[in-house]
Amino acid sequence: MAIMLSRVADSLYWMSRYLERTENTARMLSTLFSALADTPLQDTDITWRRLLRALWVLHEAKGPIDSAALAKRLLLDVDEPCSMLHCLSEARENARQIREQISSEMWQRLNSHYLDLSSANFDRIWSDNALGFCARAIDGLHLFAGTAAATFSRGEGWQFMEVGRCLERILFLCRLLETYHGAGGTLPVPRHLGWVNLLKTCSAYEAYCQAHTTDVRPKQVMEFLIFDADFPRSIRYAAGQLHERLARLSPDPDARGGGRAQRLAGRLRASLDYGVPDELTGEGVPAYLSDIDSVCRRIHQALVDCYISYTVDSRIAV
Amino acid sequence: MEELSARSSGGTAGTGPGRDQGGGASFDDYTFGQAFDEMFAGRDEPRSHYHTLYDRLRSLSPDNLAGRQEAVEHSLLHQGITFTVYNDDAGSSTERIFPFDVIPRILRADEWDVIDRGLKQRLAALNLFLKDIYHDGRILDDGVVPRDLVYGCQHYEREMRGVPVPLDAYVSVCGSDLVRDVDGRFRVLEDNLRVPSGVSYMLVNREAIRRAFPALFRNYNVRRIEHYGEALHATLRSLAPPMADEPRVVLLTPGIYNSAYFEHAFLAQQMGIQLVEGRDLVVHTNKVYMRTTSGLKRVDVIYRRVDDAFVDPLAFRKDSVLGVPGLFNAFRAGNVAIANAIGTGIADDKALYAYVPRIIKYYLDEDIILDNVETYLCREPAQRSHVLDNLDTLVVKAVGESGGYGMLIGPHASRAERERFRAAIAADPANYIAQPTLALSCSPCLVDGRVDARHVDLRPFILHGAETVLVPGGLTRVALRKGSLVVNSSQGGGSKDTWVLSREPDDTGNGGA
Repeated sequence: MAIMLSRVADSLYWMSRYLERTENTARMLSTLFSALADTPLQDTDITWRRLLRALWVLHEAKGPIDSAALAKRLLLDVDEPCSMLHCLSEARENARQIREQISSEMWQRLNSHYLDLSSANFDRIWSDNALGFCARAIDGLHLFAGTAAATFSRGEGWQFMEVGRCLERILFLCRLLETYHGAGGTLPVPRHLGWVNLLKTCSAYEAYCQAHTTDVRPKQVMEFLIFDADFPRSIRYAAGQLHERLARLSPDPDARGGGRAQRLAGRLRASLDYGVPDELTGEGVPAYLSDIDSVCRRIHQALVDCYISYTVDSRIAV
Repeated sequence: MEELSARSSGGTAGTGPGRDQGGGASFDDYTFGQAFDEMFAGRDEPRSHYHTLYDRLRSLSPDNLAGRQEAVEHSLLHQGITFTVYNDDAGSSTERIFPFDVIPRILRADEWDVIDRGLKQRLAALNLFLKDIYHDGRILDDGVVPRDLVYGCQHYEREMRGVPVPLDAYVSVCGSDLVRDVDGRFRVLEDNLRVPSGVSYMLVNREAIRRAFPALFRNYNVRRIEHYGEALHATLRSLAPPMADEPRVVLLTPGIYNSAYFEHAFLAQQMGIQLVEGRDLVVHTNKVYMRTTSGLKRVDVIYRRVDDAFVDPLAFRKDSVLGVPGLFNAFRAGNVAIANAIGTGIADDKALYAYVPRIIKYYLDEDIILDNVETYLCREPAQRSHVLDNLDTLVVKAVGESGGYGMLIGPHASRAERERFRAAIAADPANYIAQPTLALSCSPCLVDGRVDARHVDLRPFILHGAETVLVPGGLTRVALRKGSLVVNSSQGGGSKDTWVLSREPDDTGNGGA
C-alpha cells in the first residue's frame, strides 16, 4: 500500500465528514421548504425547532420564527458553523490542503461546486426556487461522490474518506431520530406527516414503502432507519460499512488482532446486526441512540490516537 | 473545459485565412516604441517565425479572441489555479488567478541555443563560487570579489562553512530573469537562486494555450516542456545520500497560506511525491522522518520551498513554525539532502550580480555568453556619484529587496521619490545598485479586447544535479499596464505561454492553421 501522511488522512477524513454534513443540512432544509407550503402556522415553529436541534444550531427563540432569515443563515451564512455553505467551504479547505493527493477531477468538481453555491443570491433563491437550490446543492455533492468513485484509488485515502462519511452519517441519524422522540421532552412527538418528512429527509420514503407499504407508523419508521440491513442511510448499514472500511486501514501497531477503533466498530456492528428491534420500546430509544453516539465518538478518538497524532516515541521504526 | 472547446469551435477547425476578413483582430492601434518588438520588425511586418500566428490573429474577430481568453480564465479559476491576496486592513482575503494573456510568445531555435548555453555556464560558475566561499575562499583571497561584500551580506550563512553539499550542487533549481535590450539581445537581469517560483505557470500556460489554439499549436513546431516534473524529480533524486537505495523525495511547503501553494501542490503531483509541511516531519538521531498512517518513514531528499531563515528553528529563526527542529543537523550529518542548499542567497545578491562576469572568467576561464545588464555599485564612490547625478534616467534597486519592491524607476518617478532615494543612498550606499532604464522588449497582448504592445521578460528554469537540464521554455511575464516595466505578479503582472521552436525545417509552420 502506498504510504499516506497522517495530515493527509486527517484532511480526507474531515473533507468527507463536512461533505456529508453539507448534504444533511441541504436535505433537511429541502424537506422543510417543501413542508412549509402545507404546514399550519403553529406547526411551522415546531418544524423549524426540530431542524435546528438536529443540526445543533443555537437559536434563542423570541417570538415567531422568521423563515426567510433562518433559511438565509442556514444556507449561505459562511460564518454560521452549521450552514450548508460553511460546511462546504470547510470541505473545500480540507481538499485544498491535499489537492495533489485527490484526483484533479475531484478537486475541480468540489471547487466549481463551491464557487457556484457561494456566488448565489439569497433573495433570488428565496423568491424563485428555494427547493431547486437545495436540489442543486445535493446534485453537486452527488456529482462529487460519483467523480471520486470513478477517479480515486481505493487505497487508504479512500478508506479514510468512507470512514468519515459513515461516522458523520451515524452521528447525524442518532441526533435526527432523537428529535423525533421528544428530544428530552422539549419537542412534541410529530404527527403522521412529520414521520413521512423524516423518511424523505433520509431519502428513505420509497425504500420504506417497498418494505412496509405506505402505512407509515412511527415504530416501523424508527426500526427502518436504525436496523434496516440494506438501506444506505440506516444506522446499521452505515455501521457495517464503517467496520469494513476500518478493517482495511494499516494495522494498529499497539493492538493484537485489530486496533481499538476496529474493535469498537465491530462491537457496534454486531449489536445492530443481532439486536432485537422489538425490545426497543419508545422510552428506550433515546438511550439506545445516545449509546451509539458515544461509541462513534470513541471510534473517532481511537482513529486520531492511532493514525493522526501518535507520539514519536511509540513509532520509531523505518 | 467543455466551455472552452465549445467556445473555440467557431474558429479553430479548418478556418482559412480568407474567412472573417476585415473583422479580424486589428493591429492599427498597436504601439511601436523604442523597445525591441517580439513580433514585428516594423509596422505590418511580422518577423518570419511569427507569420502564421499573425495571420491567425488577423482572421479572428476581437470577440472570438476575447472569448478564448475568457474561457481560459474561467478554466483556471475552476481548476483553482489561483493565489490568495490578503487584505491586511479588512482582514479578508480573495483568490485570484494569475492574469493570463492568450497570445503566445515565440522564440527561434537559435535564440534558445544562446539562452541554453548561457544559463548553464552561469549556473556552473555560481555553484563553484558558492562552494568556494563556504570552503576555501580562494576568490576572496585573490581579490576578485570583495570579502566584505560576501561576509557582510545578510544571505551569507556562517552555519554553512565547511558543510559538504551533495554533488556540490548548492543550487539545483534556478530561475533566471532575462530581458531583451533594444537590439534584441538577451541579457540576464537577475538570478533567483533561493526558492524560485513560477514554473507551474509555465506548464499551466502551455496546457491552456493548447486548448485555446489547438490547430495553431500543432502547426508550429514547438518543443515539449511537459517532462519538467520528471526532470526535476531526477535532479532531486540524484542528490540523495548514497546509502538510500530507493531515495524518498518530499516537497516541503510553508502551507496553504503561502501565495505559491498552488505551485507546491502542483509540482508534488507532477513528481508523484509527498507534499509535506514542517509539522509532518520529525528529526530523530539526526535522521528525518515523516509521519504517516503506518508510522514514521525515512526521508532522503527535501525539495524545500521554505526560505533559509525558516527551515530549522534550532539553527536559524527561533520563532519559525514552518520548519523542522533539528533539520539542519541532519543535513550537516549528510543524512538528508536539502535543495536548494542553505545560504545560496549570497549568489543572487544584487550587488554580487555585478561580479558575475568576473566569477565566470575566474572559475571557467570563459567569457560570459549571456551578458549582464550594466550595473553601478553605490558602494563604490565614483559609481555612486554617477548614480546620484543621473537619478532621472537610472533604475535604482535596494540590494536586500525582491519582487519589484524597493525600486526607483528614474524616468517614471516623481521628483519627491527621487529625492527620497537620494537620501537613502547617501545613508546606506552599500544597500543600493543602479542600472540604466531598460527598454524591455514588447510583445502583442490582448488588452480590453484590442491587441497592443506590452513589455515582457523571460524566466527559464534550470535544473542541476547529476546533470544540468533546461526545459525549452519558460515563464514570459507581462507588465499589463501600458508602458509599465514591472512584470512582478505582486505588482500587476501577468504571463503568457512561451514557445521555443524546434530546429526542424518547417519551423515557420506554414500550414493554414
